Amino acid sequence: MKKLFAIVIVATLLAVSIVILVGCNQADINVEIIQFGNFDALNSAAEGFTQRLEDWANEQGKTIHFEERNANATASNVAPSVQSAIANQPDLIYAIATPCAVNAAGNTTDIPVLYTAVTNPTGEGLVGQDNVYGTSDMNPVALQIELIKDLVPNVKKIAFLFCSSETNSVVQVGMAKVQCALMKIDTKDFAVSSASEIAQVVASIGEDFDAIYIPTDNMLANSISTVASANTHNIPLIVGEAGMIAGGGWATLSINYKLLGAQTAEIAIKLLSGQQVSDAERHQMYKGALELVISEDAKTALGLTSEQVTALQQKYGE
Amino acid sequence: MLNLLNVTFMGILRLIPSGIGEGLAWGILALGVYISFRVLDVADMSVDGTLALGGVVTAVLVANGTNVVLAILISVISGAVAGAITGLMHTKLKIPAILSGILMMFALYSVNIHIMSGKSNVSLLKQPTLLNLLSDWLQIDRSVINIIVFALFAALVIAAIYWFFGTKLGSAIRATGCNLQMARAQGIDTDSKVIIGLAISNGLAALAGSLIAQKDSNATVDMASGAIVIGLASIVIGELIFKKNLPFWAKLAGVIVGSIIYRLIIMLALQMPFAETYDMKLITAILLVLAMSVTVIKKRHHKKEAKHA
Repeated sequence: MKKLFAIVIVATLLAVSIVILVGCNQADINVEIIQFGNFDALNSAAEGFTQRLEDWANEQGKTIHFEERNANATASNVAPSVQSAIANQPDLIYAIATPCAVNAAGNTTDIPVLYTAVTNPTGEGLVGQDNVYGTSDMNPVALQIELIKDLVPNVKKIAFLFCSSETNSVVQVGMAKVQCALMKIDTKDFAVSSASEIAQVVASIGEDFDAIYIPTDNMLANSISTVASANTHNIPLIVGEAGMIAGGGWATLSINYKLLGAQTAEIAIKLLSGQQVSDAERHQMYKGALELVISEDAKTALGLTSEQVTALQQKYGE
Repeated sequence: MLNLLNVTFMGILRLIPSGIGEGLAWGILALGVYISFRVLDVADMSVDGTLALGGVVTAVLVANGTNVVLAILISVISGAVAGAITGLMHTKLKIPAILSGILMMFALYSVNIHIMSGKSNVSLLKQPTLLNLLSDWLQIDRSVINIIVFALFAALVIAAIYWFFGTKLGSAIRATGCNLQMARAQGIDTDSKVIIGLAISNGLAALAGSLIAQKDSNATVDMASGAIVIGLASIVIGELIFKKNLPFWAKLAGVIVGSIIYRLIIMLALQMPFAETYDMKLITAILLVLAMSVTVIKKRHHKKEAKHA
């Protein structure tokens, strides 16, 4: 009886997996998308990519299937997602954010891996591997510091808030410090190692700071509302990307991740239509226009007139 | 130098209210941990999951328009159910307590993301949370409201625990924690007592999570990382300050006081020029070791004195 039961279970599992496998391979083109977390920026990067590729596939009269996987912002979920993506032998893998890109590139040398939302592809070792292509989302850190100066003209001291285990953030904070040194602004690091510490670390930022700066940091993007509500001194909160504004960030100059995704899709189109991708095109920086985003609350708090906002938009829009 | 000291001192003074609020909210978690670790003598790690569960359930419900009081209630119940399941795994399936807790914590990670429909955080900024509502209604600053509300909740929880563990059922749970074999010999169904105890403990963790999410205006899947250590630190510090032979209610109050002192020590340490914010875990660990070793050292000292006498 037990044996029979076991056989039935195994048979069902086999049948289910065969159905799933067959179901996957019906389209002309199969793309595996591995996204690190469910953040606005990364969602936009996925959307821009899939939209552009779908449009192209329609023009070509081909069908395209996207298998989307999400690691839910957990490092230990990345490897299994990548493994199952590779097991499906797709035409290409689209890896969104550094952990996914690094893992995908490390696990396949034949399937093309296209990355995006990676700040420092050279530092992560993505440059120099034959099957790896992509776009960097290197944040306009220096310009964002300049924006702080525009919004808080007498800024003297900036607090950097970031997660100490995210390389992307550490690199950006380093760049921000260089810019601050040029502008003669003092800085102090407030590094956080887990989400449960954020409220207390933010509370420990003294009134003598004129601004708080958060780079494109995954953990802090996730907890941006915690930061905003612990910021009792109402210190201007300048953030690395527009996704953090809805959660309580004040202002940012931001890369448009949807355009970045579409830019990455252009490389994918070249690959899928068998064209040569030149070395110069392999690893690209963001080419679109920057967006100035300021929350309504911040405009009131900073006393910005609509003319001032327009002037800033013109300054950074190019 | 004097100026620097002055700045630090003023900074610390201003930080005290936020430290107290923080300590009171996490103190309710510490009470939950106290019930599992001290009263029940079960090393239950589920609180790392149930605290987040409480926060997530409250955030999702409030953000979708549910009354906040109802949302808090549902959070507590969901935490209690999770705790009861941990208890079932431990007692009925004979999985070691630590592992049952860790498994529950693991499972809740996925569950929490499901509750947030696939997202890893839900914002409560400008939502009608208990704290925002009271702050608007009474026209009092949020940091003050935090302290008042959390202190009320802490007092209420202490009173409820004190009352409950005086009842017949409560006494049976205490007996189970004291000496499982003896309790069983007295005809107590120990399995059900462990399950009820863990349900209460995790219900409290979920309540703490609900309040913390409202305080932070945010619930995230990782908001409870390290909760168990924070709870234990509070208990140990509380026990260090409050003598052993105190009545039960005073011990419970000691846990809350321990939690507040823990926060204030961390805050003080963070204000020191040599400490970086990422030292928080190291400071906590050192603090725990110190607090725990003091009791041992004291005991040895007493023994020596006794020998000499």
